[in-house]
Amino acid sequence: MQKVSFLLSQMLSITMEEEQEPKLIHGSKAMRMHTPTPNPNPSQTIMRLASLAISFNVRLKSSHMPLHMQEHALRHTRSLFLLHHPPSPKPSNTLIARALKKEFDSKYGLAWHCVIGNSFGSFVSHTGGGFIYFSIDSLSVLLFKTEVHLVTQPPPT
Amino acid sequence: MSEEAKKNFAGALTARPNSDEPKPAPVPAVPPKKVIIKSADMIPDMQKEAVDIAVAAFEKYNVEKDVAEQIKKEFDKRHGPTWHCIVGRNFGSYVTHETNHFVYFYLDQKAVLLFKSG
Repeated sequence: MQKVSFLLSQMLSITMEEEQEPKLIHGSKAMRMHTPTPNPNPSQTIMRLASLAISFNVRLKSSHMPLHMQEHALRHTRSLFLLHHPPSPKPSNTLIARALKKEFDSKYGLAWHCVIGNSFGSFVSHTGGGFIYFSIDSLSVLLFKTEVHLVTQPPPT
Repeated sequence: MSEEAKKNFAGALTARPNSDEPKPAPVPAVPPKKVIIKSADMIPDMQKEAVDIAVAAFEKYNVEKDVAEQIKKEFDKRHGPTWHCIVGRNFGSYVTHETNHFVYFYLDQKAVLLFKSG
């Protein structure tokens, strides 16, 4: 029961953060950005996410991401684990990281980066609403997005 | 002069500290870290810079995230934003990086992933 309340409180605090109007900083000026209409019933989403976390054996460590994307990350990671992690062979972290990264690239635009392992530390920069860090079973998963501009033509020589 | 005599003569010149004097603490010889560049899309000079900064960071910090922070911030400062750094013993990754701005290397038992994106 304690675990449930911990997960809920953690996710509630994340939701509260997201409902504040995001600001885009330009020098010393703060420009208000358009905020998408919030989920009509966020508490339902939070409950669903909490129950997902428990059933998937997930601990959400840190997140700056809309709830539906968090849910997608958890669901997709678990499905990849079931796909690539039969009980006997050694898990291929790189394979799962690749699949999760490509899934988010295709659904939410470029460029996502994914790191999966049981012993690593990181320091990264990410776009607003494009960061999640959670553990699933014994592995930690870091998934974050950066703003990229693809070069359509090679630079003139 | 025989070999034996030479040895004795040389030995006689060796200065030995007086037993009353405190012995200077021996300077621990830090063995150089074993560096293996596993994968790189980066000019050699920048690779060397990354390794040097990583070595210095490992000397300064024990915690992986602190090492990663030091490397990332140093590269942001020297080569412009935005760099990202992962340091650890066990991880797999899949990332998108800017051309000529990616390196993945081992420093003894630790792996360092450093790349630029965004």
